[in-house]
Amino acid sequence: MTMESSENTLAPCLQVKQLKKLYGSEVIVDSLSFDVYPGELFALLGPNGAGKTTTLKMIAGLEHPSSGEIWVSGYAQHQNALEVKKRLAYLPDDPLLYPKLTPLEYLEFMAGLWGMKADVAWKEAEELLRYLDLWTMRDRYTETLSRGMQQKLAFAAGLIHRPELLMLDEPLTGLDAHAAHDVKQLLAARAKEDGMAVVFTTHILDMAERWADRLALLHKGHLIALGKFEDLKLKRAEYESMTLEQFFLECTARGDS
Amino acid sequence: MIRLLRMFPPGKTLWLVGWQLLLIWRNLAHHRWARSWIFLSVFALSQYMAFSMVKYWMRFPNVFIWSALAGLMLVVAGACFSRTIQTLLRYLSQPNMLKQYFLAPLSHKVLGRSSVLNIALYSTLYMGFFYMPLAIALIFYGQPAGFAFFIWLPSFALLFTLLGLAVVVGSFKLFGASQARRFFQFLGSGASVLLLSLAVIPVLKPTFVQLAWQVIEQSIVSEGWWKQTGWLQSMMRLALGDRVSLGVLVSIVTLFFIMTDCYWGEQLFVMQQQLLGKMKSHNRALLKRFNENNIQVLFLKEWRMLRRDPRISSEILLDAAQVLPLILVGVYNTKNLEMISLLCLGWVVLGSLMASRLCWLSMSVESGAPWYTMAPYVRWTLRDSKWGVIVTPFVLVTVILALITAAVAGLKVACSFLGIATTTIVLSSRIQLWMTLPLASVQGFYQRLPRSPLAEIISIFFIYGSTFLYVLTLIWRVNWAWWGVIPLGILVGAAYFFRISLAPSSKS
Repeated sequence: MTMESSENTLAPCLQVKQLKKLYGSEVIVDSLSFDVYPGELFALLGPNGAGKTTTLKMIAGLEHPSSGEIWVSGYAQHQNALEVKKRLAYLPDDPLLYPKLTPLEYLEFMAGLWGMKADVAWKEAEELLRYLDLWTMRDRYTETLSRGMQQKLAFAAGLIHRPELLMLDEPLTGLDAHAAHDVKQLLAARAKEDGMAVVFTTHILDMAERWADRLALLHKGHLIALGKFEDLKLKRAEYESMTLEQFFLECTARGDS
Repeated sequence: MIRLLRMFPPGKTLWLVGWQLLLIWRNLAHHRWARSWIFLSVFALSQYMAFSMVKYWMRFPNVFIWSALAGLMLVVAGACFSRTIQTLLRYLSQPNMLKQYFLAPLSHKVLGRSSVLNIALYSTLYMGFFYMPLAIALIFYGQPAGFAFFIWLPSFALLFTLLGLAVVVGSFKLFGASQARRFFQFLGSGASVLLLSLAVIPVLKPTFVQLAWQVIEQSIVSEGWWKQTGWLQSMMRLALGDRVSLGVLVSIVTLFFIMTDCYWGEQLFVMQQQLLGKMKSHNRALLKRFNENNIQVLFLKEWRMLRRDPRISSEILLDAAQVLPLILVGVYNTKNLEMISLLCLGWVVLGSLMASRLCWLSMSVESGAPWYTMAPYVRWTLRDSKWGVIVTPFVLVTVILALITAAVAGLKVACSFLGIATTTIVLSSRIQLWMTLPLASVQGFYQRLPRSPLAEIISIFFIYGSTFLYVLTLIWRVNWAWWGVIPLGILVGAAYFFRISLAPSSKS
């Protein structure tokens, strides 16, 4: 069941083509194809073990696909990995922090990794930390920050080099309502202003329903639904009155498209 | 090397090879499998050298100390005995026991957490781990009492560590957090200065160390003092505030507290550093701007981590703890020029060991490792850069030490050991090249901290092994009275720990 966007005339920011991942003989992701466009908020949904995180890791370059291709802003990952890496950021569900660095030192390190100019990076870091309410914590070791603050700092680290594609694995884990709101606002603003595409996984289906422009539903490594939720609901009469949660349960129970 | 082989005939070397294989196996359970082989081959070399050296110097008979400490070990053995039974019963009663528990560490599946019991177990293991080779050498070469020196010190370290823990907990309870923090800030600074001095002085002022060692030797180690005063009398002298006794004891204990028993020391270091971190967080000089140079930024991050994370520094000191005492004892306790020349080579090995450990830690202790893989660099570029930055100063130190060695022992010996040192550094550092997994999965250091069941069982085996060797030596060397003390020690220890383990709060 796929309903690809027909409205988007921009070139895709991310193209996943026939992606496949095997661990031994076990198929984790199978023949996965989808596009994500600039400025789009794209939800990757599925039950545990569906292959969502593996997919994100393959796009981020942390896992090698068994077959298939990944293109980011026109660059193929298998041909021009450096250009791809420059354009993306990936935040796993566990914040990737060094416990003995302060938030500012951490952002300095991240900016250094992406080769940013010091003054530009400093400005970005200050802006992000102030926006995320971390500026007063800038001289503390990250290990002394709460889980929510650590998560926000990881966001800042991912955003500091202004990626074209941001991938988030369970982005709201550990965030309170205010922090979650701030983060969503920030990401939405970046998507609107910079055209940054956001691909995220989540088990909070309410959030996906309200926040995502489009979604992909994975089940046992297979893509079983792709498109805008409103469009997907039109595919069957019984879907029309469903929430995303009901739709999710129905589709994954059926296990096929 | 030929000289070393002559010191250690092949028949007996076989025992040591077996010991090293067991060490490797133990480490397989603790570390990621690939790294350990190379690292432990270096360790094996240092152990081998240590045995050879120890044979020469240990000639200070004091059977009483040796016996007393062996008795102490028995109590610990008793404790471990009960733990072993519990552990084995727990594992054996599980379905799929073999797959789940014995193969689990190889698939990085670790169970359990460091509890107080496990820390005690690990520390005991650590002591056995170091001193069992000495016990083997003791049996083979028949100079039991001399080894008391090596057992006496860590035993005190253990006692003082327990005392330290009690002080930490007690001071928090009694004086409140803020006062206790001040105290530990002071203590931590003092310990750091002492550690630094101890590390620097031997290089800068060998004469001073020689003099200090003579004091130690005359006060504690040499036959004269013990013959005149005996163990109890010396303890009384200490209690009465005998300046030399007190100074020597405190120095030695602090040294070993910090360097030898890294795991315990680490716990306190971590505690102290966390306190300091919290205290200083309001006073730390703020970054006013970012550094422009990316290499500088990367280097700064390494330096900050090294400076601030006690787990890294204590791991690096682990090697110093293995080799440094042996070198120091030898250098200042023998007039045999050939021996001194061999000991100088120990400095070279020490430098290379520390370099390799630092490289390994710096590259594998990466809680943020995926950033490296995702960063826009050719894979390995960053890692290679890090390796270069870290290893260069150590290579320089090693070269300098090799030059010193050349001056003392001749160019041929220096070159051979420089080769060994360089190979050590290179192989230990580049081990990650052989791991095809991305850095994201290389977190062996942190994986080592939670105990795996297999590691636990092997640890227990080692504790038993070392303890029984002590006991055997004891029986062989001392007298029949210990036949009664041995089972008593085991019973007391077992009873104590059974009582603890049966208590509801002692779940580990």
